[in-house]
Amino acid sequence: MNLTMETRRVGDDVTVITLEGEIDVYTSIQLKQDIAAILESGAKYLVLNLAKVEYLDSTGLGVLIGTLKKLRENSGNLVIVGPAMRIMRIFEITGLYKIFAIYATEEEAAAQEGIKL
Amino acid sequence: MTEQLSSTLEELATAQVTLVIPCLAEFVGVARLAILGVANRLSFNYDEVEDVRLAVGEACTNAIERAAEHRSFLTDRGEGPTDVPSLKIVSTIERSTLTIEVIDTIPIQEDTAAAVSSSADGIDYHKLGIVLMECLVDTVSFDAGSSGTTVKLVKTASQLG
Repeated sequence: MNLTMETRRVGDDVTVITLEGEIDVYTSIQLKQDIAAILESGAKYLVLNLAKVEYLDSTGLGVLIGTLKKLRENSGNLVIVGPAMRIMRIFEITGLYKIFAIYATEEEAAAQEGIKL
Repeated sequence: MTEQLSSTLEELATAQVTLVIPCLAEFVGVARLAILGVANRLSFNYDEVEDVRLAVGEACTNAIERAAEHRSFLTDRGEGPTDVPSLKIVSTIERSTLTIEVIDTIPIQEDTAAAVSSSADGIDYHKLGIVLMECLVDTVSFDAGSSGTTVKLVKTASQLG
């Protein structure tokens, strides 16, 4: 299984990205390029829905960390939504749950982050 | 059928499965799929099987990234293009313990190692992968040299099935 991505622009600076499949050394290269294009188009807040992501490895985590750094440098943020227990465990093992804002649903993310979805 | 397989496996002192793939990113999924089948032959629970699958994926990724850097290094020196090296994954089942060796033939070089461990955005993906491996299996060991690297992962099932 590969990785598919759906994007939804909400307002001027918020983009919701819904991913489905596996994020690994093969798919993360394309993911990094696609996210870079979204950032270049002016997005300051990314809501990344991982509910349908079945696999995430260190290269995928690297893409997320790099994106978070770029967004925070521009006073934006990367918000993660709906990771399955297996995926959540990877954030816990690596300690990355401390630096990412992770929410169960997009609605919860919108309410907590003060963004309109 | 399952009982028959289990009893056959118990009768064997050890059972070994070897998979050889090209050391390329598009084949890491093949390795993960194969290891899922092997891990299911032991009395691992769901989480343990998934831990093994991710740890093997990380070990393969480690080799694939070094292979890509090495190819780039050789090309820069005018020595490329080179053949794609193979990645050998040897799984040994011994009762409730699974030992997996991920063996590559990519020579360790100071400059390629540095390039892999620290990318342009300053994130150490290599270390992140090692942290994951260490957390997911019981023991991880690395044997690296001029003839390549072997990553050995050992995981024992928490309870007998």
